[in-house]
Amino acid sequence: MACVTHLIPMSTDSGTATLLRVNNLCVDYHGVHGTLRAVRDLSFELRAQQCLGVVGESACGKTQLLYALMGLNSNAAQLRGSVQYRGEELLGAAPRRLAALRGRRLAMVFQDSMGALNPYLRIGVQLCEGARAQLGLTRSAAQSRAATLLETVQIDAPALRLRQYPHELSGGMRQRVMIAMALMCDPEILLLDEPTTALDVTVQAQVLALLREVRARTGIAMIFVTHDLGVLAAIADRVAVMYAGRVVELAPVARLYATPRHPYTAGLLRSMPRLDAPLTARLPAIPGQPPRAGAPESGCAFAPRCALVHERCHTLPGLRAVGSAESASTSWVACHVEAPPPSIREAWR
Amino acid sequence: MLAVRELTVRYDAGRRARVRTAVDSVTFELAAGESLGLVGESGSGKSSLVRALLRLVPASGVALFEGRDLLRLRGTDLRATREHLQIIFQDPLAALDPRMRIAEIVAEPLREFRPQLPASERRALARSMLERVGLDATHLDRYPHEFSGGQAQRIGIARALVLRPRLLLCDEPVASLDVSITAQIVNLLHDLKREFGLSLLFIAHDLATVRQVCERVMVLYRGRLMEIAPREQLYSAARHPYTRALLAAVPTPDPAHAGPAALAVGEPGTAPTEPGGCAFRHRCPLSAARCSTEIPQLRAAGSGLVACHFADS
Repeated sequence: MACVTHLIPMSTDSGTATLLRVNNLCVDYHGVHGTLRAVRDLSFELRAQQCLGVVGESACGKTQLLYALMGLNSNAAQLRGSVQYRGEELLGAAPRRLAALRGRRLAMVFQDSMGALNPYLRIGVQLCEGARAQLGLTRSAAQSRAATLLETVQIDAPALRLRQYPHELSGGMRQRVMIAMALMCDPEILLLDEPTTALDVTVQAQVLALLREVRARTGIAMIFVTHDLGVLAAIADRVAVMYAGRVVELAPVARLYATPRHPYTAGLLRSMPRLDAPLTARLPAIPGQPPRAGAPESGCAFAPRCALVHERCHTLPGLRAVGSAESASTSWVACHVEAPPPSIREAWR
Repeated sequence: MLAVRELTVRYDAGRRARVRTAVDSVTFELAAGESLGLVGESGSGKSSLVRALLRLVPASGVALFEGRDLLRLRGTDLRATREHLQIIFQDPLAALDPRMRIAEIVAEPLREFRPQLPASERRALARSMLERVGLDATHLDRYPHEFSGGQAQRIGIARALVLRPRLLLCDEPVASLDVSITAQIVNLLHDLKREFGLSLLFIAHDLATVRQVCERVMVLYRGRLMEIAPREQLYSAARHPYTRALLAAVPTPDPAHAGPAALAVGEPGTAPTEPGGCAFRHRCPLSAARCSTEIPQLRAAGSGLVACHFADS
């Protein structure tokens, strides 16, 4: 496999730099039926070289969050709060400034690689487009860089692939092309929206191994969005659990899986069929169903499905720190229950 | 109950395209009340096999359902048998007619197969089946778009069960559902199987879900049966290198775990397809010269069957 020397090298002093600081981010859609609140009051930090996992079910706002970071929400969206990239405010920034950052500093990998690639254009043209515009590379320089990156993502015969069209590649290969495309301009932050969901489990394992390797070699920071807690366990440093547009728990990966604090997190972990747990006749399922996107809320959105529901749950629980308040290893949970009983907390053991 | 012998499905894409063999001489049996899992990557022939049993695609071989060959039935015999074989689909909303009310959707099989029943009776049966799967009377006159994916799958299950079939074919019934809903539907299928004495042929690509639902599991690769074994054996001591690769690739929700292991090479459908030899040899860590000359035959391994020359190593 080719060495990735041309990508940003890992440097020790940048290890603690805060790349993204998101404060009270809200994404609203105003429509004839009232306001749909897709993302509600979201705050988090992403430091250099970190991988933040974001997990949640459909319509929890996880994709809208990524779009807000990239400035890709539709015109109907109203964004409030603050998204700072290295101290620079991105919400309300000039379109030209955002265009200069996209691809160059923040790059995104989409779930549906067939939908994200243009079927009429050769892979090479699509890979090079961003680098030529952002880095001012010549056609041939961009092509050779593209070929090197295809090798990096373990695609054989890069010269041939550059001349092919998206439909000539398998799903796993297209997703590798998407990752290579996102890396073309040496971004600092890679945003991944369900990058392995459409893939077979064997190919998912290959793509995860590739992303881990890219991370280890370049130290690129990631925000990895998925519905699958199994996938995040293999790649994330910290995990944010989203429910109905809010983060309900944010914790270092080991702590989240070992001692989930929010009843939703604990319920998800318990209800997942998993190969490393003893077989039981029935799964301990969470009852009910997630609320629709942007549904109006009164109190905790998870309360109707929660085993620990209490009168207090009619008021909205704020995110509170659990344990020490020092930054990197702090856990945050939005639940009125101080400490869930062991039966809820115990994921499955 | 179901005995399938050398089932083969070939798709002929036209005069100049080559014929693709989607299912290649697959033989298996399914007992009454049993649930059999069908796993494999995309392109392994899982859906083609199920569609062949329902006569939705042409196939050769034999598929005896309670003694009658599904592949050769015609006319009224075929129609009478269909009553006992029902299917639920991967995309539950796409499987419901958007212009029909829920009560009509669930009562439709009754209208076809029990035309002598009065409409009020059919509606009552539909209603009780909907209640059984976890919906209530207020849902009867609504339209599919008003339901979430999990509820739509419940409606699909109610429609499939309203005729009280003996065999339920499940084509990835939880693949498009939310995580918290998957467990509900898996539990519902578990309960209904016992309650109605159903046999299940359960397709899924998620081996953890299959383990939860199925007592026996068969593994397909490129249309060929690689391994079939009871759950206990398959999940603790899989014999075929392909089964082992599938199991190793399942992500574990535990950061202390080593993480999913990837096969060094290849993806389904990208390896060359020259005839002869083992279909998996291009990706197999145990591949040897013999694998490209000799097609491995199914042979006994523990209480299952495996098609690999080196299944014992």
